[in-house]
Amino acid sequence: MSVPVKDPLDLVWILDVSRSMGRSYETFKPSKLSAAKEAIAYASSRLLERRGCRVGLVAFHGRALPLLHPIDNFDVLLATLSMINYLGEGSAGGDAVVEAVRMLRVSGRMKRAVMLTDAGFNMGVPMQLAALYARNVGVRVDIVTLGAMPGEAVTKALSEAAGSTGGKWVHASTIDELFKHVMEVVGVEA
Amino acid sequence: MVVNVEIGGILERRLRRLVELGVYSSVAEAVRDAVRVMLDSMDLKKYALELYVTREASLHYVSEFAGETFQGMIDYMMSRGVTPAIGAAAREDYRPLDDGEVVVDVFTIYTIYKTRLGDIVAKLLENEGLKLIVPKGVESHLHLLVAERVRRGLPLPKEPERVEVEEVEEPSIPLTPIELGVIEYARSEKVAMLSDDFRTRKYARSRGVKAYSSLSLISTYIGGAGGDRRILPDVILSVRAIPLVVPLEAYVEWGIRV
Repeated sequence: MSVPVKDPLDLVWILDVSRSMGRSYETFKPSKLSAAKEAIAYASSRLLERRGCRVGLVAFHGRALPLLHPIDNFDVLLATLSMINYLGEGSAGGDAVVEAVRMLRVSGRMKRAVMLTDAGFNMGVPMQLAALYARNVGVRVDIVTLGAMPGEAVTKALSEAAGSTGGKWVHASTIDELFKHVMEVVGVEA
Repeated sequence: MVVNVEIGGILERRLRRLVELGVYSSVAEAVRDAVRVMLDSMDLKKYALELYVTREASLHYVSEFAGETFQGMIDYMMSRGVTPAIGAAAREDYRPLDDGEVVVDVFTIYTIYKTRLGDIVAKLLENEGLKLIVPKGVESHLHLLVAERVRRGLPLPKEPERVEVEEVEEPSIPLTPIELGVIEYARSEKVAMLSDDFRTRKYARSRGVKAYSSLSLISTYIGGAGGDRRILPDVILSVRAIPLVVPLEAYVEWGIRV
């Protein structure tokens, strides 16, 4: 179920650049990271055509890297995305949520963060705590996992964390599903 | 087009009363309005998708039928799990252009101007003597895309050459009259054609026309003198935002790390 974007919106993409994202998986070629970047570019190109929408970007592996504060310039986002090919060790998804919330804290618009990851967080702030911070600041966090389906315990934790902010967890097994899910969670109606 | 429709009995009498009352100037005008209202009330995108899936229609054909923009139709298709057959499928679609003169169909004008391929075209027109031919009938569409590039601060390609292209009506082929016209122009003038629609290219080739996707502009750019590869990751990402299909082999051939 998509949420129509009508009000001014600041959305921060949280992109997993851990080493496992550099691998291909079935239709995610040349890599899961390239597919995630393409899905972000696709959805952002639509979002930024709407008045009052801005997008930002946080990348993470063992550390979270705030790369782009919310902006309405698609070409700057494109140039930033295209330069991301560093893949680091570890995966601190919770830290990345905290960085995204920091970016959005002062925004007077509707606040959203969407994470694209193959999951397997093993460092940093626990996701549940990061989600609590997001909820208290009024940031809805959606999580899109891609590639192989994570285990039951992981999906339950992601679902609960996203749900506690008003967001949801969805999984994409193919690149077509990824594009579809990303469009749905950002609320661009077709 | 003239369509004869037989209307009798109560329907006819009611229509005549409306004309007598001055609501419509003629029965024909009332019928035309009724048809417009009927089409507006229907979910034409749903039928357009059915056409796309079952009749191998081109994206332009179904967008025109649904009264949707290319982007609107693509998003609708993607949201229903149908990936549009646009971009390149095999090497023959993205190989370097053999000729310096190409005529472009409407969807491909959209993909070139909407993406960073416009930067590549600007360089090819300037440095490699590429001659881009655009049908005059789509000038308003082109102007909108040019205005968008100006707004985004992107480089503008040199003015493409405009030519008269006669639209071709062929009801049995699910391509638009302007697409068929561009194919016939390419055939008669012996020039190559750029089309980002798999189905339009397939039909063009069946008519003996050399057809390429716009991704062949990248291969041509790389093969030319001074083709700076640093701009390519941005170009590819912008193309995937349409989203055109880019074969994995193309990334390898272009030497792009993603």
